[in-house]
Amino acid sequence: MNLAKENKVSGLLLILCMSASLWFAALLFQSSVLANETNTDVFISPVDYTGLDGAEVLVHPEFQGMDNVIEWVNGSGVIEWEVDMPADGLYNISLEYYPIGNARQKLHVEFRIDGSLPFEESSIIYLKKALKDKIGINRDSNDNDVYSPAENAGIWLRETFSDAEGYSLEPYTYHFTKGIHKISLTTFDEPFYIGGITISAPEPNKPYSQVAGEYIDNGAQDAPSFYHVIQAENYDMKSDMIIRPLFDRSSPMTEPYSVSKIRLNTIGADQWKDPGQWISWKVTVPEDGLYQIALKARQQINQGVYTSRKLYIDGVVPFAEMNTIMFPFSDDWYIKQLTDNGGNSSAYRFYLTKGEHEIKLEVTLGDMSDTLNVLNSLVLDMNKLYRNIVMITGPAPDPLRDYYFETEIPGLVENLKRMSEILKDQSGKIKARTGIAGGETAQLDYLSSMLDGLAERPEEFNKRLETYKSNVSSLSAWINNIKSQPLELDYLIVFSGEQEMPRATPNLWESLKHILGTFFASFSEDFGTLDEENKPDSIKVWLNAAANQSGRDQAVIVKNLIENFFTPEYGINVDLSLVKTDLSQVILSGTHPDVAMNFGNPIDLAMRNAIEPIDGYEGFDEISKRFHESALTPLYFQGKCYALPDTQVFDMMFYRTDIFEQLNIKVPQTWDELYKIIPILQRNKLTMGLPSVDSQVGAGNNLFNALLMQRGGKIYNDDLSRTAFDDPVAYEVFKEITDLYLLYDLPMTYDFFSRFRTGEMPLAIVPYTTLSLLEVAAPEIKGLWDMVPIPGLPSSGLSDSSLSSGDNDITRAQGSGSTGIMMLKGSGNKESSWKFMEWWTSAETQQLYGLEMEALLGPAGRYPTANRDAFKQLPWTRQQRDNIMAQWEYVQGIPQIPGGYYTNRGLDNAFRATVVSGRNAREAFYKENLIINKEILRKRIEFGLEKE
Amino acid sequence: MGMDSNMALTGSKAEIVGLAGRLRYTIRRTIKDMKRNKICYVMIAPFMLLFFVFVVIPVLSSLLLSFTYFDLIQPPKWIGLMNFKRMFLEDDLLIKAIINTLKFAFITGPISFFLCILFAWFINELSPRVRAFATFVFYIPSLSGSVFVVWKYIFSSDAYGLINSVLLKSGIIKDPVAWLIDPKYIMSIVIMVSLWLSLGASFLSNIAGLQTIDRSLYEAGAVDGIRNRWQELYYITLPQMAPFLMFGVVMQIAASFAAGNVGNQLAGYPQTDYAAHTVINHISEMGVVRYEMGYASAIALFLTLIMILTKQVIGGFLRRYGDIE
Repeated sequence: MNLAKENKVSGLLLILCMSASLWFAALLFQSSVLANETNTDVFISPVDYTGLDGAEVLVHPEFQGMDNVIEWVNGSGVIEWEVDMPADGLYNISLEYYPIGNARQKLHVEFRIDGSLPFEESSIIYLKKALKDKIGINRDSNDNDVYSPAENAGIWLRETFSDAEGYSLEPYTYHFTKGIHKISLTTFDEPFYIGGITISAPEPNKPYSQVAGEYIDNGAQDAPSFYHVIQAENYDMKSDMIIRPLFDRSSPMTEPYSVSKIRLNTIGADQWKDPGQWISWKVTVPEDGLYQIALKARQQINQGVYTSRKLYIDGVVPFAEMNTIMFPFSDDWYIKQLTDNGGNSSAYRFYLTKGEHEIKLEVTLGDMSDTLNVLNSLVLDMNKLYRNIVMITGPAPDPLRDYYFETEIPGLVENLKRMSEILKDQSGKIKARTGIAGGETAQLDYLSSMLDGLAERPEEFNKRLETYKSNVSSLSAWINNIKSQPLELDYLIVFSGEQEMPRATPNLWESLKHILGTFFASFSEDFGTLDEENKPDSIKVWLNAAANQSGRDQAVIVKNLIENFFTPEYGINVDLSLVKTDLSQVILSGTHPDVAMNFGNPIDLAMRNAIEPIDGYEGFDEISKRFHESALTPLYFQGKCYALPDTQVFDMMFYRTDIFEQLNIKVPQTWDELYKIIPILQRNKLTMGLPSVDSQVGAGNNLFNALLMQRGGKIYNDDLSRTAFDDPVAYEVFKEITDLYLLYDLPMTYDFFSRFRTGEMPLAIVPYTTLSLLEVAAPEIKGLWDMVPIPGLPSSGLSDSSLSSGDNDITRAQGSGSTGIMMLKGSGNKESSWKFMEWWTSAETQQLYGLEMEALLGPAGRYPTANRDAFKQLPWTRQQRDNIMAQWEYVQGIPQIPGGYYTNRGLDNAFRATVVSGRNAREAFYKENLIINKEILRKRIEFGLEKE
Repeated sequence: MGMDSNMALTGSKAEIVGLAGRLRYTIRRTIKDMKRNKICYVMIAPFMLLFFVFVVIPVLSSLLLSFTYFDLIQPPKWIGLMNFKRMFLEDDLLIKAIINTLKFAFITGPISFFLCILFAWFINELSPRVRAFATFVFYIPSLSGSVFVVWKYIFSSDAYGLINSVLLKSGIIKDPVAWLIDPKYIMSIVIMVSLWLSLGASFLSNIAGLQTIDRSLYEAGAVDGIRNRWQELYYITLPQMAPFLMFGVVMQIAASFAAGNVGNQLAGYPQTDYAAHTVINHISEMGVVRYEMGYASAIALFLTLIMILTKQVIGGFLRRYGDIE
């Protein structure tokens, strides 16, 4: 026994020695040691900048309580400082800043030392913002809680440069040698103030044992008995718009509680899950002393695993254990006391002085960060291997052929074995941490056994390629899942002395009362209507649900905006209904609303005399300037405008930067360049996706329209009485497109999302809204793709690719799709309706709405507003925004005409007849043109625009 | 029978009173009858009311609308027979739609009808517990009416679609086939999926029908010299089930002529070359897309006539076979 124990101890010692020496070796290898802890903080005053490149800077002697600050007026360019470092070493950098832009806009900087990036990640450092509620939770007229969005808190913030994704838990360390260095900050986003830059030695947090020892040394004692509950939804500040009070009615113990009314009583859950997101609360304690903290929490989203939080008190992590507080999975609420390992005796104590303190909880990946780091790079490796295989076999390999993968791809077997080992290792680590086998780790084990199988028989790769591919995407989905760290909080308790903790779950009697109460209340409470009774000066507004899946969320947000902004300002009540219906019936029956929004066919109704023309209304000219001309074109009929656009969508070109680099090809600027890429891709068994008829839902004839417009062609003739396809250019374009499919054999139907992720389709032209999808759901290719304007035609008319380096002389025209808000002719309150339309399409409202949608649905809910100013304020990165805006300049509207529905259909038919049924392109095109014009003529006669 | 004696009575008095008197007499007589049978009228009233509101009035109004130009928004304008003129003389697409509908109806209708009988007959032979399960399995497609996503995946034109990938892998095809885009295949696929979906109400009614058959008839049949199961089916089972078969026919005709949604769901609307464009599609195209409700009503009227006619013809065949009214 003793011997065994001794062996264990010596083994442990050995491991410790080894790891220590390794650590030391690593440090030596970097030829630097941690900077001396004493007196190495270097503070750089921002006003001492030594160089500006494209940056406009104003010096302020004082701003919001901070002396000697600079304002980065234009929010772009580079600012450079000089610093004299006292010693060699690794340092943390922290920046004091005051954001003034939109609270929801992401702000990031690039940090360089001596003009070069110390490491790749230093190019994107997020400067988080702090948000504070102005109104917060309120009661509406039905005695239900409603929440008004938060605003920029307007305080100085301090950010120590670190990984925004949360993969590395410690802040970045930068290596400086002794002497003078130039450091620089670059930004593209928005103006902000800089208060100072501090370069300091990393200071690891002390463990609790040491801190507890200091308590005793300093004579700190438990504070006198104290018990204070902070409702989590009454937070002080938060990092993200998306974090908002929630309504939990699953338990009667959630505070505050009402059996039938809506009470926003918790916070967090799904909306508080990304590393770096934080919420802070204020607590006032009556005496100096030691306090304890407990939380009522629930984590019912990530099955069977922990989620983690990091705790700060007054901006400082009090001791090392607070870097990762783990919250286990549970369907029920529970009280989590911050203790060593349970039991009151080992409870952590926090020293608080008398007065107000800030408690902040931040999402952290905790122990998972390592695993995720490793697996993320594994996904990249696996994808790369997939591409290598596909480059040999094509996406549909011949199962009977031996491709000699082992000779074609050197080190294939070793690589597969290595990847399998990594998976086994990580799976083992997770099991050790959570104590649960199976469940979350089963996926990893399965994947690793698949890789083992492949390593054993690499010649079967062609047969198992499909499985391999789907496993890679399921691994990245797994990572995505595990990466999210949701946690819901009901309240926090700060206390001292012996306190009995409240019960978190109801007893049988309480649950019964709750269930029966809510059941009977469901008869009398009407949760269906969003608005109370009609009031005299009110307008009826219908919101079309068909245009968006999340209709109800949409309606709640619109209602919220109306109540908080429109009605108070204009004194007009709005009766808002979410509908999923055609407007024509209600117009006939006379029960139609005053205003209909988010409808796609204003002109169809306008032709039939059901829509009020709005160009005569006050301020129309001013208002129409909010939109790009192209968004308005489809809303005109016979020279009158019938609606205001609310959304507008057009295409952008997405491409995989890594594959382009690998194949050594440049991003095509013109169609000729694009066509030249096709064979290169196809030689490597890759392909590209163009927006033709059946490629994607709603792709329609985007490609045809774009090419036609770029060559100066038009869809309809000048007086909009027939198509303009008689112009030879129309047929030329049609022929060119059908040839792409006939000669180059591009895929007609494809799932862009999955093919782009695997890299099989490294280039595609899809609606710009796809960006959000990729950002949210394809983390494994983050930073490996880009979105740029679509290819164009050099305006000189020459297709000489040498000219195309200069962007400006390329016409990148294309059509666009939009929805609109319109006023019905039978409206009894036209002035109020017009005011509503004016308000709804204004930049402020559109921006708020867009941001709210995003807060609710995450980046996937990005709203494609047609208002250009609002668009700029949505949380794009600067580059994304600039690219989309650049493309927007070229977008053209397609006029709507009677019988116009036949144009797309005819083009579809002609395209399919040529490509699918193999008919002659010219014949098919002109035949359909004839049919289209016949229908247009028939409709024109019907509307009396032409005589028979 | 009461009717007949009334008629005879009126007839005999008519010679004396003359035409006007006869009419007056008939009315008086009817009112008297009504008074006597008022309980019956009260009892039939709820049905008649619903029948009028939901069947008679819509049918009549669509009849009226078919003589108008009506864009759903402005009040209808009377245009006489213009809609019918357009329907028979000018509308090329309608001809295509009628051909498609007939093709569809005459293929899916009978096949589905016989499938319903056959499956019901097979399943009826199983033990009660297995039968319940099998019935459920066969009925599922019509419960889950909107599982087109699965079929879209199976017939996806993408190289990764189910059938395409299987065929590509096994080397049968070299390029993915555009199943739901190529007009060559659309109709066949639509028919196939419709058959899969069609084991609905008439299938259930057939199973119910099979269980109502008096078992002693089979014994009697055996005594009378029936030699095998096929004869049993033909001479006993089917004639006994005639009313259920009639129900099946009516359901099947209505379903086949009113089909259109399957094509839209699978191949989108409109399909390539209007390959699965049926009369129902044409009606909704006219009404919803082109806002020409008057014309749509005219086509609907036409479709109703075709359906009634078909029902009469098939009903005639069946009547000759089983003894139903």
